[in-house]
Amino acid sequence: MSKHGTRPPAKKPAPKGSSGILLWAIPVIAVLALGVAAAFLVLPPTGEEAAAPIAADGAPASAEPGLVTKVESLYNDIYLYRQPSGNYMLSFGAKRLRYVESIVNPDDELELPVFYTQTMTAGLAFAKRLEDAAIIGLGGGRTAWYLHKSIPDLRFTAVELDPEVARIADRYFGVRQEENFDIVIRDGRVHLSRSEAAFDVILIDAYRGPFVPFHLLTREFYELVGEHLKPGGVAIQNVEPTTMLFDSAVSTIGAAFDNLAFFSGRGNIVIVAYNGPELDQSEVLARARKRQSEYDFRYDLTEILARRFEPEWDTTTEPLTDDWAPVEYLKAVERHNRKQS
Amino acid sequence: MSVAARGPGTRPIHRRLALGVGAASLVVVDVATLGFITLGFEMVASRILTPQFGSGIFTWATIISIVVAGLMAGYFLGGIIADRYPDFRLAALIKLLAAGYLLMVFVLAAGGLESLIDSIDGEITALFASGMVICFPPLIVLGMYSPLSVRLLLLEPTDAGKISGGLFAISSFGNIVGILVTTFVLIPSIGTRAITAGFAGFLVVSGAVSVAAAVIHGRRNDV
Repeated sequence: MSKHGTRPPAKKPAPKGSSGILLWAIPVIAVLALGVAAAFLVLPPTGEEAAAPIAADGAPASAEPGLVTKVESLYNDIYLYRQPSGNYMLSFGAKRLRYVESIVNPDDELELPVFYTQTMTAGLAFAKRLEDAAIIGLGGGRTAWYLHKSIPDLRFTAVELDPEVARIADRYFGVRQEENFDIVIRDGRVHLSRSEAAFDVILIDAYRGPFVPFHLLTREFYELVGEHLKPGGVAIQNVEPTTMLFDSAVSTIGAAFDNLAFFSGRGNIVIVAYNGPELDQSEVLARARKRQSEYDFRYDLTEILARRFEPEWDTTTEPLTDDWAPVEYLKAVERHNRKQS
Repeated sequence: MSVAARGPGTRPIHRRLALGVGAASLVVVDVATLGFITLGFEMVASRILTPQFGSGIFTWATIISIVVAGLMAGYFLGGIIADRYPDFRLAALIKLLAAGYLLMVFVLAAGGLESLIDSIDGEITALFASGMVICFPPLIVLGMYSPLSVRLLLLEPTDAGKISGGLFAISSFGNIVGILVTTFVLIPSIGTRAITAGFAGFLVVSGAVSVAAAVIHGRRNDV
């Protein structure tokens, strides 16, 4: 090509070149400008996308059956559906990763349609007292609201990372701040580490779609949870075995707590963890009976205890730590293994 | 003052450029704003892909590697093309191509991407394929502007270090502002699709300015 300085003579006559650009540039700019204008016209007015209008009979008017609202928050793409049964279904993520977070019956605040959320209450039979409780991961607020409404004196703190999730729980499920029910919008681990509060029960159900944020499944995290338990307090962890490999979960929680008890949640497994001497079954059952008669739980605590089982796990599994928590990799390994079997 | 009488080393840097101060300022503004859009769009791309693939480290590794691959191809091609067409017409073309592609991403994000992903077997393959579709083409185009900016401004070979270094720094400054403003201000307030359309709109306007600069600059060269 031309050397520096000899450029003008080497080029075509400039006037032609300079006006030549207008021949293509003006139509291109016009088309693109129209495209941008059209793009803004089809956009919904705010962060909440225009929901498909739902007819009175619940029949969806769009290709997304039953979609009530879709909200893009800082952390999640939140989809709220109304099922033909009338229940709400809260899920995160789109299509391939659409992951049900919560199912809510809007007409019955004590119903727990998802089986494992009933199982989460098993820990109530292990706790020494029921004065202060917290949940990490509010989601649709089922478990939290059930405990709050069943035990009115329990001082409950729900820690939820995503303000939009809390807003949906408020608007559609009636889960909102009131006496003895506090909602904190903050990362669960950050909140615990900056707080002096101690609890009798800490429930952990922090999922982001199909993933557990890795900093909420390490030994250091569970040790932090243990530090925030009162003497005789219990931690209750929901484990979705396909996302948080069961062996790793048991190994990690076991590294931070003296005792573990396992309860079936149909697919999910609920782990109740506590420190100190192991409670024997009769003691736990006695507490369950006493509390059942005192609070009249919809899902009988003594029956929930019958979901206890002794799982098998690989005791050589290393606990996950802040330094080593290849959670995405574990998920991939697990999926691979399932394909092989 | 008689600028011509002095040697190149004693004139201030803005007098030692291949362009006048006005046109040079336009190049500097372009470098900063395209830097903003480049990494601002990376954050947007993460928001488009995480609902499909989660926000794990695999998704981030895919996005970052594809963004850098796009820039790599853009720098390389941009360098070759800039030597051949070192003028504002190329700047306009780069911006308008990027705008057009961002509009396509805007349309794809409405559902086309999901059908593409559904048609691919294998999670990681689908992740890379959709990352390539969303990030790679616009990043090639945006990457092309960097060598062009050096080519447009550089007159004296002895200034190559200062000018290229200064432009890279300005571009990186735009990157930083783009990441922060997109993540902390735009994504929470207007959402990813509006940002994509907004970036496209800005590039159309900026492209029109480059067209104007090409016309004016062409005329000036005639004189």
